[in-house]
Amino acid sequence: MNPPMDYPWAIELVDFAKKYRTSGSGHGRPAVGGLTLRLGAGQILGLLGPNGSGKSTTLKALAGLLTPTAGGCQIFGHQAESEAARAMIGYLPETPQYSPHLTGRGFLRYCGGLSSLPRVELGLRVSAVLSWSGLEEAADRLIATYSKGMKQRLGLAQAILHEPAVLLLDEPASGLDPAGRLILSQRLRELAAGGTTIVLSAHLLTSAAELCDRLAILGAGRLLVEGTVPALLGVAPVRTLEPSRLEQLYLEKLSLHG
Amino acid sequence: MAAGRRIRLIAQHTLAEAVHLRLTLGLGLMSAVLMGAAYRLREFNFGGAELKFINDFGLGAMGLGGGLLAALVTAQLFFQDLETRAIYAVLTRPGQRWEYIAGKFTGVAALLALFFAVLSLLLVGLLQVRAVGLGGASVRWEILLYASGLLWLKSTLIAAMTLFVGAYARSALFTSCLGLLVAAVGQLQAWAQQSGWDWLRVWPNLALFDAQAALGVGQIPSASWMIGTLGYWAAYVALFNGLAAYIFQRREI
Amino acid sequence: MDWPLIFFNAVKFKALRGILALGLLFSGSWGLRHLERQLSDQPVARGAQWSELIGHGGIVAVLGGMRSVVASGFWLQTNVAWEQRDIQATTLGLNLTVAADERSDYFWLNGARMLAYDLPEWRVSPAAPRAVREKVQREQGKQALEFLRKGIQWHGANAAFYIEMGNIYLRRMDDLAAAAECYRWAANQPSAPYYAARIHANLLQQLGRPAEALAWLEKIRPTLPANEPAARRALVEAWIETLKREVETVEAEKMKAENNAIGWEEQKRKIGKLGELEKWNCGSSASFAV
Repeated sequence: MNPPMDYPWAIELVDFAKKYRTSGSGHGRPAVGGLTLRLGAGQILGLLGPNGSGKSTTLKALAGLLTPTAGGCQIFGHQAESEAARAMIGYLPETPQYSPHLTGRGFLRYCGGLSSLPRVELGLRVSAVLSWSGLEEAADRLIATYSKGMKQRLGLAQAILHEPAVLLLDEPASGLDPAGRLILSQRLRELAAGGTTIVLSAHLLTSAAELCDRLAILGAGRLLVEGTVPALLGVAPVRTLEPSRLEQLYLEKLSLHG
Repeated sequence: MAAGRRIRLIAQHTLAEAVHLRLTLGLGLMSAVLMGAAYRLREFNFGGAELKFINDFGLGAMGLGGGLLAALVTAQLFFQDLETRAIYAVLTRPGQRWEYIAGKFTGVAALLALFFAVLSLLLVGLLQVRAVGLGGASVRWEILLYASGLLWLKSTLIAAMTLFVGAYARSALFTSCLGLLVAAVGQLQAWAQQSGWDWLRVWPNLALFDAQAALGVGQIPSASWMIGTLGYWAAYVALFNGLAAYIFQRREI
Repeated sequence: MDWPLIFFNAVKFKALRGILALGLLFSGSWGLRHLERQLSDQPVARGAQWSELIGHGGIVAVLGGMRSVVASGFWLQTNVAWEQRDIQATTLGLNLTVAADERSDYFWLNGARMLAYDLPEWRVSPAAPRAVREKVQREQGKQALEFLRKGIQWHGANAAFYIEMGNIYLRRMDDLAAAAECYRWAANQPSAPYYAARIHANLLQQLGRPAEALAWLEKIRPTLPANEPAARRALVEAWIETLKREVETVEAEKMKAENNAIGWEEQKRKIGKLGELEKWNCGSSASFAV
């Protein structure tokens, strides 16, 4: 579904709060409390914070997988749980497991069918995202034979298969080696340049700072700080996607020893 | 149309997953072995009665295996999707959650159809072999098909009830146990009617589908009875799947 | 329109949604009860059946819908006991079999045959006095008949049950009248075999009631299809003619006997009157031919 061009915000969280009900008590455990965030189209937002700070909860709420206890989550003006919103998002959960009995290609065809991609277009899109994610050669192998990194890349592939306007990625770099993380960063910048809005959660601060346009740091379900990278760090934006010196050494050694 | 395609895809995916489960293979083998055990008892040589025994025992094994499969596989597949987060690939895409429930049910129904088809063929083979051994005693295959069909209806109803429980429950174990419990309660409905325990009558009367004994004496049910039974089955399947979708709509994944 | 979302946003309270779900479940089930009643033609296990199963491990399996299997299992046990000529185990096994599953004719009929024909041979030797053998046969016949009556109560009546009862009355109880009645009940059941009616007529004839036999055959004749060999329509028609002649002969003899009886009585009366006249004729005694 094409996003409305006149709506100012791709992602809009207004006083978003979520409490999980714990068994045996009537009171909920607050996972997120009163979060307000707005993100324009084509921008990349990094959600940073320790474990349990509410990053995954926020992403799930934006994906329409859970109902806010208070406040609202909108995707281009549509309620996150609505079908219209879901037609505009691609979601990658944290360390997903996919059916081991399917091949990579078969799984992507399944996902494409669920996204109502026309059959004629489906084959082409599947080949394109397999190439994009570097899984061409493994496309016809069973997912059970995939490494952790390959499964992560497959997850990314299914998220972008239907060319969503918004990508929600929970720890996208998890399981990827340094080369894979570099390629991922490049791919995500390309998507953002093409107008895709990206929200991702990350643990690695350096790569988040290099990749993202905006950062939001969460702590105990609260927004501690949010803003552009230069504003937060007081330095000029680092837009290089060149590998760092350590990464350069790493890649060099790998290429020498196969 | 899009909804139909999504349901079909989820059903196919569910069937493929189910066929690979060890549980499915185990229950299928168990039922086949029980059937074979009935055949082995032919040493008693009861003549024509032996065919009745093999038929009864075979249908009983199928019914038992089918009921267990319906409850256990439904619970396992549903919670497997939740635990591996594979369900996110479905629910974050356009489409309603009821389509997921419908697809899951359809996939399990297809699995049960495959299960009963394979075991019916096995039973037909056993009966044919023994009939020849008894000098060409008559076996009415259409009766066996009717009986298998009724067992399939019953098992899919158990699957629908299990899915209804699973939509709310938090674990596969709880869902399986409760699914089997409501299946037992459904079997007790006739007794509940007699005893006045009307509150039990929330659940369908599964004993309605135990016509295999009547079929075993050569009485094919009338067309009106079959239509009525199909309507009864369809109404309860729609009710339980509808309620499962209703509960699942607001479930937090 | 995203109807589910609209609905769930409208019904905000979780408890209310839960109540609505339960309400839908109860009302849906209530609505289907009428259809269920119409479809439910199977006899529900009765109290007597449950009590027979208690203690024999059958109840759980029966509850699980495995009645046929359980009954078949009990039947196997019965046959093992039969092979060993164990009277108590055989009788117990038969009762458990039909308690587990009363729906099968097979168990009732073969069970009755075991009780009526096999058990007497086990109870007394062929060398026993005839009176003793006949007494045992009648006792077992009575037990078999009770078994079949229980079958009619639990299973429902059909021709096969009444035919079996008729056979037992004939062969074990030596009661032709009761046998004839059983065959009549059998013939009146749906899908009864044609021979049941013929046997009823035959027994009536043996009982010396040819008129009733004739009336019966004339009643069933229109129901016999001409193109059905089992119906033996030609035989029945010939039989009717034979019976008509027999009945006519019987009627004629009856009338003759009645006439003879009337003639004798009339003559006796005449003799009596002549005697009176003789008296009045001053005692002259006259002999006259009577």
